[in-house]
Amino acid sequence: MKKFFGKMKTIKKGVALYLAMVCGIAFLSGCGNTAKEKAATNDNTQNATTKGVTKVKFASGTINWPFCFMDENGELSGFEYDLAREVDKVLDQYEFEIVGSEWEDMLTSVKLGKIDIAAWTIKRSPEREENFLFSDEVETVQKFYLTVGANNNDIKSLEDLQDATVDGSSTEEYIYKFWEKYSKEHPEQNINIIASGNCFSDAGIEALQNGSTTALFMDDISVAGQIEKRGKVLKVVGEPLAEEYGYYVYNKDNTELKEAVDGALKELKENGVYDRLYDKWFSFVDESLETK
Amino acid sequence: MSSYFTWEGFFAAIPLLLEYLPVTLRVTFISLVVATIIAVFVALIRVRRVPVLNMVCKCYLHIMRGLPYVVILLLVYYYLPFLVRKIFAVDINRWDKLVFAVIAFILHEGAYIGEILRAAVESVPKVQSEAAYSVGMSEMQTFFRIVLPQSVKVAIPAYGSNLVELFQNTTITFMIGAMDLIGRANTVGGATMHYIEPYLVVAVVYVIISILIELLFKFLDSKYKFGASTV
Repeated sequence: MKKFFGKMKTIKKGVALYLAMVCGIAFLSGCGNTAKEKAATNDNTQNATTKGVTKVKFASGTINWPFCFMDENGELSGFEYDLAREVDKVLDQYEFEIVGSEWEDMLTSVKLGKIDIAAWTIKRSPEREENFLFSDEVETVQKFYLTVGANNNDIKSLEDLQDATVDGSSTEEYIYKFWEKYSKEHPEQNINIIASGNCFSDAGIEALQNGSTTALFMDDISVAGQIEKRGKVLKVVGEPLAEEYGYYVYNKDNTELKEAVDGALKELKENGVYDRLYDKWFSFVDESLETK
Repeated sequence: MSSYFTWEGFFAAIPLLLEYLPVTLRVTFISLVVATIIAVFVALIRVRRVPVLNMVCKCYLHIMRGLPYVVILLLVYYYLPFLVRKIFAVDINRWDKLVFAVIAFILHEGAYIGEILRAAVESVPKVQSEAAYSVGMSEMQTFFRIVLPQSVKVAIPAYGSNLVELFQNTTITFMIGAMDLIGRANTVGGATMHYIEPYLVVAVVYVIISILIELLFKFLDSKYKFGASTV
């Protein structure tokens, strides 16, 4: 027994020594790697500066046809990506790496420097402007309407929403804030706001059909997109209630990039490329909404 | 109203999604291999009760087993680059999202598999080692001839179900918008406004592959008779 424990002790020592060695080697090789990586990144930046090309990571969504989605070949497609590719062509000093992202992840990633430009019809708000840099040039224009199920003929305007349930998608969204403000100003209408997470999910659309929700506050392009893909499930009512602009969003200290991209957007608007892209992706909107 | 579910949509989604199945499998496989290597060291340290390192491993195990997958993933994705930049002055912020997912899985699985291996090794009664020493076997011989074969038998089922769990947990990569099977299903849903079909395809794929993994480990378990035949 004693011998056994003695043996155990030497083995313990041996194992400890071995582990220390392994850790040491791992640590050293790790340092080697980091040094190498450092050199590599230095090389990259040096290359970048000698060629004068800076790499820029551009992100938009992947689930929002026709703004930003993935086509059947797995390519990022839609207005946002087409516009970004055109901006990239104009700017020789920048090379865009275009990636898809989740909405929940996008602004955080801009803040943490994982991406440089976020684009997904992002609207200005005081809280966002405190944290992010917005482009001066407008990227997308959306007209917001009162939207109801296609079979609903009772609702003609916001005043008709007595004791109604409306879906604001999620609490931090522009549309939710619209309902919040409206219901505060019109307490007599007793509007109940829910946040279903995604008012355009199957369940959200079904809720509008069977009357468990009454109305949405939605933009022309999104409503037309739903009609295009699902058939006539929705309709817009009356005149647009608001016009909202989408902007590119940057990290606070990325003014140089912002200026350059603003210049490029201006150029694309002047030479007609922007309009061509807008027509390419959004020309169906008026047609869809009028034939409701 | 268009119908929520169509078989056309279901079959149309299959090839689009299967293209991304290798991504999910690769994430699972790489995570498993690296996590197992880490787990071997963790188990070794725990079984041998190596001073200091044993405490370090204990801390690692307790933390990892106390953290939900999603939290580890978010911490690794958002916080690790910051940490690495602070310590090594290297910018890993822009690595592919899947790399962060793999790192998160490795950290988590390293702890779980480590415990599986430790439990397996410790399940072999000490008297067997003592008996081996008494007939003059060396420590190495004892471990490789007596302890290891029996502990492998114990570890196989747990390791298998752990792999199934890891494979299924790869779905949380959608939290950070990584593009694998579930990520692609989201995008197919977004492009067609039909979410049910792609999600059903994902469900079918996950069920089939999980069953295959289970069968594989059942087969391995039945083939691997050592140490069990006499019990």
